[in-house]
Amino acid sequence: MVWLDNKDVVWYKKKGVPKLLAGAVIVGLIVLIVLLSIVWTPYDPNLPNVSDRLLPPLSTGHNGQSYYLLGTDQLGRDNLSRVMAGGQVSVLIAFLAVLLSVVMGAVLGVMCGYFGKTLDNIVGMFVEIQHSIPMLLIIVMVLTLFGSSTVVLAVGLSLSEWLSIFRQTRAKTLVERKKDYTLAARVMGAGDGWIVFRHLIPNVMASIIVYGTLLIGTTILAEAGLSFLGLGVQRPYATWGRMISDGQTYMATGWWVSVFPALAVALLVIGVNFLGDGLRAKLKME
Amino acid sequence: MEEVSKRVETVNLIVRRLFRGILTIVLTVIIVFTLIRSVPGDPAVIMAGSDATPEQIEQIRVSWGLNESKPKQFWIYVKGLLQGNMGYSFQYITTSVRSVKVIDLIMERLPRTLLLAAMTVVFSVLVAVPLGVITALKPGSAFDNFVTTVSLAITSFPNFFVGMVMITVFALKLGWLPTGGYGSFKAMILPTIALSLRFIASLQRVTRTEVGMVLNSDYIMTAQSKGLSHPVVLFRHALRNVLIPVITLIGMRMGGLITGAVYVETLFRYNGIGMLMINAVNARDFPTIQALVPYAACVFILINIVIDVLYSIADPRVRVK
Amino acid sequence: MQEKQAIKSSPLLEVSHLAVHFPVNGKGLFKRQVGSVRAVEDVSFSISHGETFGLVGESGCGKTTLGHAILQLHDLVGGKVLFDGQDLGKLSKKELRTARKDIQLIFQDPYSSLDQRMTVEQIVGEPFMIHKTCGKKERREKVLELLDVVGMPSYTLDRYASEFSGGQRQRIGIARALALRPKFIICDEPVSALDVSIQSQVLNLIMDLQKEFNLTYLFIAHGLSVVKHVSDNIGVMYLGRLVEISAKKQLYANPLHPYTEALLSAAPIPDPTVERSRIVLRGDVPSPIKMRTGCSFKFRCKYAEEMGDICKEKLPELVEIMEGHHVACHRYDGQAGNHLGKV
Repeated sequence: MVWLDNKDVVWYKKKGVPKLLAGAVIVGLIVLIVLLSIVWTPYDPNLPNVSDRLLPPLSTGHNGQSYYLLGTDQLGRDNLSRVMAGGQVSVLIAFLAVLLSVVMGAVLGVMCGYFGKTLDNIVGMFVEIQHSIPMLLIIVMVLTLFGSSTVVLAVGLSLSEWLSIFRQTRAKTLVERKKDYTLAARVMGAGDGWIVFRHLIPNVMASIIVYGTLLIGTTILAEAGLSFLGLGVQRPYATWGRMISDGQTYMATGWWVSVFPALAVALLVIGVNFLGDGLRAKLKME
Repeated sequence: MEEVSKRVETVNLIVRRLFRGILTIVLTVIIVFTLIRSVPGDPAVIMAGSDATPEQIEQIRVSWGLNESKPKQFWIYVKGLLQGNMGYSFQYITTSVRSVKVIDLIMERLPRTLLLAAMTVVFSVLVAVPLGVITALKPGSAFDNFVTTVSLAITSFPNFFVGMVMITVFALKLGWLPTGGYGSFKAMILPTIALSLRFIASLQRVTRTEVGMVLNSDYIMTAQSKGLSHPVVLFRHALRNVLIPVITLIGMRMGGLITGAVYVETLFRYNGIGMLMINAVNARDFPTIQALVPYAACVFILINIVIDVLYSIADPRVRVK
Repeated sequence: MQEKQAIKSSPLLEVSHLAVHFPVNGKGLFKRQVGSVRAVEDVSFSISHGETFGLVGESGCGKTTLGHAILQLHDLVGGKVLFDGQDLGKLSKKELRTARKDIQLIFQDPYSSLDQRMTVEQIVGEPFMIHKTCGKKERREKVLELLDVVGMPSYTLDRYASEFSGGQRQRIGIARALALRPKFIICDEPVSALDVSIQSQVLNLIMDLQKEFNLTYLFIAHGLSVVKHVSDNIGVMYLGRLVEISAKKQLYANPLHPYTEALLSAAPIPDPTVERSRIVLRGDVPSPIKMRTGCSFKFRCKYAEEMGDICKEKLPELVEIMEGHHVACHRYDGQAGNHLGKV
């Protein structure tokens, strides 16, 4: 960009690869901690302990032995354990939903971008229609009707998000398709399948990875939102969104109940964004 | 022959959009109908709710034609939608003396949400565009970095959490503003700000990029060399170019606004469509749900069409397919 | 010149009345086709074994489209392409695939014609992979051979295409084109995108390869200077039509068509309307294609005025005026009353 003066170019350069590393570290740490929580948490995240209700962070329990790093919630459950365990559902659903979105969006994106004509027109029509429908309302309806299982949540979220992947992939495919190397392959005798799998997909992959990664952040926020509305995975499983919502009443007296899950969400989103941006910078530079 | 008049093209556009809009609504209606009817169990019981009397269940069965064939049911549904007769809401059967008509509920709440949305758009533009301009004038400055960092931070948190923080700080701790509800202008301040946050973040970013590009274009440098003073150059040429991306962004973010409204209304107890939807969902109030979704979609689509038309009028170079 | 005499008597490539049109869609509600761009119109010529046929014309005249059409990359609106006696348009998919081994293409843009994500070995080896001609080891050897032929060192095998300069990329592209030992190669402006200092190197390579591998070339260029050294015969294209065909010496010594004259003298031609004049609109005429009347060069021809109405009304046909020298111009075909004839 012409308009960045020298000072800016240096500033921008600094954010290239370090961003990727920072993002990877943050995401990696969070995922590791969440995975850890499957086998171990300091205390049982679902076990109430009324005598230790609403203790602030860094406090000791009434029995003089329990140590609550992040405090306790309104039922006396250890906040740290709940934050750790709460990530299980959120992270799982986010990854699942993004995976589904990417598969759907990328496959259709490449096919529409490459074959064009009728397929593109038909799919394009559905895409435009879906774009015009406020998906949240539909998702909310579906969740109400069919229950909030992990699968329904993942499928619902992916259905509302696959459009962005589709659009990006299709656009990139259209660009690559015009390049001469596809023509060269055809002149050599290659069929459609060869061109799509051997040339187009590898060249489009970078873009898919970047947008897929960034989509994780959006999905985490969406899942948290649904949980907040009461439509996420049901009790007693902890999920970040519901923890935030439960803590709403105690914001003045026990801010830690909501703040730490919110922080977890925010950190993951920031990490994912750094990762995605870093990947974008690294992959495009080739 | 290639220069079709602008008016014809605009009419063309409106017709195409309306056509597609109608198609979308039809599809939405079909989806809603299918979804509700595909839940296992007796639809009448499901719709009537768990604590309905047998007479109420039977009434539901009759009025929605649940004994009849699916196509007939669909026709009753569609007729109801078109006539505005969607039965009675179940949320209020036990709490109020007379049952509340679904359509009344919706008509009561809809303007409130629209008002909130309008205020959000206005507020966002008023805040984001100047911010974007200022940061474009001094890229890389401390202020610019500050804005970027704050934007990133705020949008990384769930929007309802930020709202919660705002309530705690401004309403509970400081007592400046009410915690929510509908009624006074004061009550709308926090919800508007909460809903605006994400919008401001993206709008500011886009404005910054656009203004930056214009500022450095040869076109502007020529104008500057002619001796026009800085502010004149800026305001006349740059802002005109910014208008199109801004409208584009508003168009793209309409969906986000509706989605955000659901959260914000629920959080602030602002009695608009969003809160109505959530309440209906929690209370299993199907008559409301199956009316609300198509109507909301309608409004949404209409707004999109208006924006598309405005967009094509604003930029004669753009041919929206 | 003597070495390049035709080995066989029948031509390797015979193009007759080739036409390629692209539809133009309207902006109406249903986007009906309102007309077509006549990229290639009634083109006929032939190329003998071992010959280099130069095809010249300005940007947009349809020469690249013609090349692609010969390769069956476009649907032909009319005409046919006979390659080695076979009508390419009538081949089945399988047969065409086999026939493709004999006709290859060297591209103009060295950057987009190589897949950035592939190594040199993968790029040059791709033809072998597509046709499954040999195993991995044998393929590698063949690729090394080809690289050697084009003057690329063997250590470049594992490098990515993005690491090379324009000239080197063209060499890679040439190696790829040679892989399956084709008989015929269409060189689509192979040096236009290269630095002037590199151009002659690559051109010489292309010419050396012709002798070594017994190749026949269709050499497409946009200027007569490039084509001068390499061609045996030259065809001049204007707005999708061939306006003059001649042996090289004849063309430079005695250009007949006014457009050729202009190209040779490099006289600037004022031309604000090229794009628009190519698109033929259907309008309200019931016939499927509304023909433009008269010669397509009439707007820019310096003889148009003195020739009178004939040039505006009648389309000149390509006529053989002298042996091997064809031209489409009313000044020579005896159609006009005042026959100026430079024969």
